[in-house]
Amino acid sequence: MAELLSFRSLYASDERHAILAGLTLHVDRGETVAIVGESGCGKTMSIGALLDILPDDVSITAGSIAFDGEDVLSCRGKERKARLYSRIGFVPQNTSDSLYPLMTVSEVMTDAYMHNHPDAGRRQARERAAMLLSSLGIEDAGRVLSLYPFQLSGGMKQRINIAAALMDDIDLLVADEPTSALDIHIRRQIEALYASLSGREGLAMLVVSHDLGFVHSIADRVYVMYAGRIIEEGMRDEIFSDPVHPYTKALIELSTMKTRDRAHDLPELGRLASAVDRESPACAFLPRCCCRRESCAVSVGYACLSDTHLVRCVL
Amino acid sequence: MGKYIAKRILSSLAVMAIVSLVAFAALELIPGNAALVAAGTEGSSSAVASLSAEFGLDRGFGERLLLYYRNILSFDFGISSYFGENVSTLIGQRLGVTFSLAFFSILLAFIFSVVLGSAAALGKGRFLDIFSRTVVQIFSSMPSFWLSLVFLIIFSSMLHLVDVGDYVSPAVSITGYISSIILPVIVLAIGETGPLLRLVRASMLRVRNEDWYRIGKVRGIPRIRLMTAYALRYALPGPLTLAGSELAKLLGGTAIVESIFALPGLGRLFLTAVEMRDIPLVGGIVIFVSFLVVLMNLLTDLSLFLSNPAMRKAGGMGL
Ligand code: SF4
Repeated sequence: MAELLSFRSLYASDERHAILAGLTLHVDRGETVAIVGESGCGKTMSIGALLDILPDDVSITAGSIAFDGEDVLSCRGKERKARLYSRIGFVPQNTSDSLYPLMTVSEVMTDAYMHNHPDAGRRQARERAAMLLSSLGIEDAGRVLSLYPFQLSGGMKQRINIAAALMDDIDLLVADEPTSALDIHIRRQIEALYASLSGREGLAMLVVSHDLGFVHSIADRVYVMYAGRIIEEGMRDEIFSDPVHPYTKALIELSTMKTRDRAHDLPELGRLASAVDRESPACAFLPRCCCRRESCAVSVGYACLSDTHLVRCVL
Repeated sequence: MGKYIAKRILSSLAVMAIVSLVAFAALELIPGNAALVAAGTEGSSSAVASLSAEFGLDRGFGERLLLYYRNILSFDFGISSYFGENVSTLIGQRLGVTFSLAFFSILLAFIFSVVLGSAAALGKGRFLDIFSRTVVQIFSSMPSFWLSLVFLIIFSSMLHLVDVGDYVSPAVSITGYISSIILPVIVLAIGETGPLLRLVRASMLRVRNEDWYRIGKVRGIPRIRLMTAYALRYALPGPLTLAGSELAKLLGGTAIVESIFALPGLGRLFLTAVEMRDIPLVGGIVIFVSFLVVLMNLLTDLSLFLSNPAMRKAGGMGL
């Protein structure tokens, strides 16, 4: 399959810490790729780097990102950049301010579209928006289009964000924590929605999530991220049925536990040490690893377990 | 929606009633009354008595209060003892000057703050941000009377750019009008820019971290549209409220600048009234200005309410 997006040895840092430490990954055309990891591991920052929405104090220090052969980071010129980004759709985390609160759903959805397609009229844009909403299972799309964000439920907002991202004919859909802050019932619906999107002809998806159940149901390939770099990658089944890295194992184990037991264990794993030196050649997981060896503190490289399964661990 | 507006108007009316009651009490408590002042130091007791009867001062407290409210409702604040003219007429003559000063200085400060504050927020920590904040800080810490004198010396005495001393009504000559108020407007605007600019900058900085702002950027909404139609529209209610209350404050606070630039405004009229112990005039101006303040705040609130769909549909917050 042809490569659509690739990150090559990407380094980023804020004023004090390294955030991304040699992030390398790729997404092929039409495939669904997930990045999993705890919050703070740098997964959201990697999306920020791709979409040029990093926080002010974070900057990219080395590496490259290529989208369909074009270098994203050095892409200059408003028009070229706009053309590039019009092929990428972005679904933000489901927060209360993900939709602009002073505009109706219709305005929110059509505004960018009308700028990217100057010859499309307001009516045409609105029709397209209504069509997309209906295709995502929203009944009476016409009425929803005239509502304001504060009148919508969390699940509805999430769908509208997806529909808005699909307004342009995109090749890549990037989604940040699609199932966070949703109740279980809505989560299932959103999961089904992404599953149907992942089957769409020619649409690749890059999904960042810490919800392993969700990732399992939609992803073709999975990257496990820890302290700014990938520590294990593989096809979905390789990661879920045959994990090698102690961190991947712990994540999967935790995700299958009942919430009651998890409450006890999570703090231990959830404490992603910001003090670890992310750029060191040693293993960043070492302070928390149950199986560490002496060599782990010196240098750890990648080991290939199959054509697609890679792990950064001495085990 | 109608309920909120009705509530807001009712509460403003209540505030006006209380403010005028306080003004009435204050005027009752100060020693001397309008009849004594009008009769002068040489006035005979019979003259004072007849003047008291004319002004209604010989009646009982309750009756006087009723009469007072009735007069306020018909905009009748009595006759000025110093000028010998109707207080409402005197206020009406001076209002234009003070309103021009207050309105244009706030407008100027607002435009300046929005443009510079947004630019500063966009380039946080860069040259324009630091430069604008430093300059505004320096100017804001200069007292208005001192700044007025400096402006007078530079622009009027040395450069002869503007005439000072004669207020020209816009009905007579627009250029004359502008030239007669431009210096005091700038002096007042400088004083108002500091807090407004800081607020615009802070609001815009906050907006830049909102998810919809970043998403708008990714979706390809042009930066200038994102700044104006989205960010400013979202960030402005705070600065607008401040501008509204500052405008109200200025309506009663331009006395110093009016005096220095010899402009016949409400502030100067008030100073004269106090100096001459012109009680009806003092009372009239106090009540009139407080009503204006309440009205300005009401208008600001209502316009913000109507411009926010969430508040409009939910029927208002607070209250
Ligand atoms: S490299 Fe060593 S310390 Fe790191 S995960 Fe593997 S065994 Fe644990």
